[in-house]
Amino acid sequence: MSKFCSNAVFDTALAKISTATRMVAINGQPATYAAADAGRLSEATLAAADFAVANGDVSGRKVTIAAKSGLAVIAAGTVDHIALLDPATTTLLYITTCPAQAIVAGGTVSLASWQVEINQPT
Amino acid sequence: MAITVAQVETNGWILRVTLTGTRSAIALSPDSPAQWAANFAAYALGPNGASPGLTLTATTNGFIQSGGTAVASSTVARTLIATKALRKAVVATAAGVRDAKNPDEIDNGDGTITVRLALSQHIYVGDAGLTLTALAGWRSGSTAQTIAVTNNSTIAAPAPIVRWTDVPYQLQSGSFALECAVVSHHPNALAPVAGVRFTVTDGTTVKTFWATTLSTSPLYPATTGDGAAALALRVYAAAVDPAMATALTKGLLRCDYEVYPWIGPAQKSDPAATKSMTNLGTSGLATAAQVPFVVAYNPGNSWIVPRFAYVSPTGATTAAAANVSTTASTAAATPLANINLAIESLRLWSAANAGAGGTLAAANGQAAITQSVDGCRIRLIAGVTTAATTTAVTYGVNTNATWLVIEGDPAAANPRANCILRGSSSNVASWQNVSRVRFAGLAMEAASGKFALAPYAWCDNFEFRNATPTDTSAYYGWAASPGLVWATNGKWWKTGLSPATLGSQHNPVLVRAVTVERAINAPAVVNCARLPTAIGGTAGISGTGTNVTDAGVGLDRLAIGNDLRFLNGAPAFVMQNVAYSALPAGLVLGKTYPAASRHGFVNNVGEIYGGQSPLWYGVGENTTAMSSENVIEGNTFAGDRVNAWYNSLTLATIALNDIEDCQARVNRYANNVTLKNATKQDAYFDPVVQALRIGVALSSTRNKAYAVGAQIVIVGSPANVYQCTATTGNTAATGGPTGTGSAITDGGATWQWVATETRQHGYRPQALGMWSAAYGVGFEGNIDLESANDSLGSPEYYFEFYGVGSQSLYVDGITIATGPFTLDKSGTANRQPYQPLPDNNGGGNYTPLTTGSGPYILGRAKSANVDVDQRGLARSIPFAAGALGVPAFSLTPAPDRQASRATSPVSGWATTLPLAGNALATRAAVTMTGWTATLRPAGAATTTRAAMTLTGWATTLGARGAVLATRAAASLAGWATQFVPATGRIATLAQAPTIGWTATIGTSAGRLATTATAGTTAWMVTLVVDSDRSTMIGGAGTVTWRGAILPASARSPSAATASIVAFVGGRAVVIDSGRIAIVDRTLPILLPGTATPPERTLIVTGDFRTTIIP
Repeated sequence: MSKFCSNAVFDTALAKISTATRMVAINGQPATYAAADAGRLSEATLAAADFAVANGDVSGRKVTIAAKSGLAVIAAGTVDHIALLDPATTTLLYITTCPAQAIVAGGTVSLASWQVEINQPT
Repeated sequence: MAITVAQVETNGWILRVTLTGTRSAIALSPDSPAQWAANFAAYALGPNGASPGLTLTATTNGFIQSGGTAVASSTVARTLIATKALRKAVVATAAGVRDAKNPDEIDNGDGTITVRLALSQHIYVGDAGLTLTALAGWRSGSTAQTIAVTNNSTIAAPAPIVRWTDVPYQLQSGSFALECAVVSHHPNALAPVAGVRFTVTDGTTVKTFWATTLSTSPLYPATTGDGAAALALRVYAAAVDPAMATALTKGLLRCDYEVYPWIGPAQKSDPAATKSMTNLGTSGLATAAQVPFVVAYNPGNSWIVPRFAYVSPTGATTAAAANVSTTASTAAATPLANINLAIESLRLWSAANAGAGGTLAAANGQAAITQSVDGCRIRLIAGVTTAATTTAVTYGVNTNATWLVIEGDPAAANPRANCILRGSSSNVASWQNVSRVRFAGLAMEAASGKFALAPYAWCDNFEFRNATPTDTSAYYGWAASPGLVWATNGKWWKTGLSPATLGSQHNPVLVRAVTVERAINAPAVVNCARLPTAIGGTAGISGTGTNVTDAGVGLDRLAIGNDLRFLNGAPAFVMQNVAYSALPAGLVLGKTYPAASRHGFVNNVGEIYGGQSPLWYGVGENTTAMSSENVIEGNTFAGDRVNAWYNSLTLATIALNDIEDCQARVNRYANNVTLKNATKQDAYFDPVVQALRIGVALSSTRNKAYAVGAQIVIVGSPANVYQCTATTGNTAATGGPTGTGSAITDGGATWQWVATETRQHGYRPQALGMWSAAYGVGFEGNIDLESANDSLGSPEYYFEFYGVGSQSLYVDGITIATGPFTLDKSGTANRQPYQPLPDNNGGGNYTPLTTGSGPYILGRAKSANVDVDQRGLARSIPFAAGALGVPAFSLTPAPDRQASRATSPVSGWATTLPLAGNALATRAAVTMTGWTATLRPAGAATTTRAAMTLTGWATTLGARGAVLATRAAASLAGWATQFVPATGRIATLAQAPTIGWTATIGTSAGRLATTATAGTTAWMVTLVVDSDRSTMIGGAGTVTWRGAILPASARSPSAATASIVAFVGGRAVVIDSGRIAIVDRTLPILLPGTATPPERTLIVTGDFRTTIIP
């Protein structure tokens, strides 16, 4: 007996992630949209083209968030979390971590491409 | 539509492609950018896109890194792209109007056309395996294909530009550093070249040192000499220990570099590779780049005996060897009155101690040096020491190995400020009779005249100025005694003229870490800075521009890391009007014009704040010039324009304007930030040229046949342009061509008559020689910030293509409202895009902003010859164009993988699970492991289930298919395949209930299967009673046996029910409960005395004592 989940189920979840129009670099895990917004040390604007949904590397489906570069440093600090925000609904959509990196004013920030993948049930 | 033939033209940068199809539909008017674009609409080359339409790959000769060295390779890969379809040369009408730009396409008349395309870089002679990959649609209707390309290039790959960045003939007693600055035309990311091989020899032993990465120079303060900014000079360097086995012998050592680029030939300071020691005493004293670096190696002072002599106004007035000592404190006790006396005293000591250091022994192929003052130090006490001229120094003092040092007393407070050496009014100085002198740790003043230097002078840790500070004076810096000078770590100001502007005087070789007020003319200018007006520099006087020129040294010139802000006059950098009587063959370009070749301008900041002048005076401004193998990289030019590869002829006569042409090829122009970069070429309308045509009535007198570009005459590749120069008439009899619409033959050339000269235009259709620059060949990562709202902008100045990864905002029609820099203090009287009014002081901060228009600069550059910016900030790809960058931080968000689980517990393997083949990594999350590989517990190990018992499988568990799912739930494992317990092993149930076998359990014959429950076994088999035995009758608890049921010998049938049957005397005996047994022996019971003991005993009931039947 095997378990199964339709790609449509995954894509629906990933599509929700893809509604984010802001990607912020922050220190610590924000609990709310407001916290993420207020604590952002750098920020990238996202558009629909920045999200690409495809089959997962293991199974299921994944969404790839495009790399961003040349981002201004909004405030100095240590970045260790990246969050996706939907300002239209003031929703904190997703948070992931990143290796801690101290950034200083006047510099630029680049964010590598990354993915969120949802696998088939096992 | 397919390509049938492809070849690279001899110029190396034009790809000529023949393909099936027809020419583009074009319109020759109006001559507007919109029409230009429309005429080229068929082409979609996408040079800056992710997938360029035409990609050309090849292999070339170069070097690769291997084992800490660089080794030759003939298969270095190159990838070029076609950037733009070439246009035709300008066609001007009689009325002075030109046709709209249109593609250079030729209809071959056979269903094919030939087009010419610019490549992103030059293909070099010898490049092999050229393959063109075309994507569908690179031209309308074209198909995807791959085709071999013929290489007709005759262009040789350039060697790197290299210079020593230290001063030769230094005295070294132990280890020392060798270093050189390197600029390559093909840096690989942030590595200029594959490696540098240094060699050091004493004439017999050769030591080799490799450097394959850049390092920060340990030499000289990392400042401008005035502490203005911290600058890091990145060099290829080696630490040389001459004593390391095999030790080098004392004497002059010859050091050489061999620089191996990624692409192209090596550049060597010893091209002949002879490592000649002949004339080593002077061969390192030259302005040329390819000279040895010479070191005076003196281990343990065993060759040169350094001595000291002190100078004090109250010192001795008679020279004597006794005033000289090898101990500084001893010499300090007996100072001499002036420098003349000190030099003479040193000479006397040498004469008196010839065998003890006064004469240097012959060494390393060099002759002995008599009356040597090599390595001696004359120390000036605090105060002013005036150069005396009354006591001539005896000729014959020698410094053929190393420098005589004249320095401030180190014991004085701040000797650079307080120990002052002042020149004499007679423009002579005693040290002029000493071959080489190092002035160190002092201030040098020119007083009422010039300051005379030794023939070879080294100013180190110095301040040079006029004794009466006045910038408007005509005091020269250095007297007109031709020689060479090296200047390091100094400040050079308050002089009426630049000490180095007069070509007849000393020619600087290296100027490093010096703050200056005036020009620096030297073949190597590194880490220098223009003195800010606020701290002493004077604005508004003639010649305040700190222009950097090459002092007449044409080739291999370097200007790296210079901070030339605060300019209000002359251009910052000049690279034209340098005449060469003879150039290397590869740089001649078929002309004998003055040329700027093999110049490297890298990481420089230039700022014009008040006056008006190009920051970088390019090539071909109202002159004819050649430009080849230059590297202009990573510069920021703020405040005014850059006239790069201008080709603005504007020559004296119309005849010259009709035939002359500047030349350019194999230049690298990368990562530069400009506020206006203009070029002209053939399509530029020059009103001066037009005036020349009309003003001398040439249109009426110079009747001549002419042909312009490929429209008229097509011979060879590229198309030759023929022009008749007959000026005496319009008939053959009068010396000119004649006829109407018919060709005439003149010698070997056929001239096509077109029309009587009526040109009234200002174009120069023949000016095509700099098209490789106009099409951005070798360009990359540049940004021209001239905004579309700048009225200076004009399509006349367009580059046809500005380079891969480059952008010209004007061309793109981008308007920027705000400036791109942190603090813009530039601005000229002639307008400037972001500084509406000229600033009065200059000195802006040209670090790009990360907001506003700054991002046009950021993240643009992909490769460079210096891995730090002008202020030492490390670069990482991509980085900011220009000389100044901003810190770049890279963040890598962690990818997330969400596995969908159905249950909760985990599998717990007690042993290591080796993953076969391509391992399937297990996430650390909460889900289960799904192994696609076979699970093979090692040895006798036990794989443990999550349930209560153990499973000990000795055999392999082969999961069906690719999935072995270990459930952690409460139920049983369900193996799809049969598993067989090995002999002696027990398959243990994990829990209740029992194992349920789905297969039939076959009973062996005669065996009984036992039920585990308390109930009655219901066998499906028939119980057969032998024929002579009693028959069991089913019924109400009674069984009737036809025969006796006889247990086997010694066996007892056990009843499963409550009734036991026995037979006594032919009658059935039924006992409700108890036991019946017949035994073969007599039980211990009591019988009558006459009774015969029974052979057997039948026991009925549970208590055999009560019923015994014998």
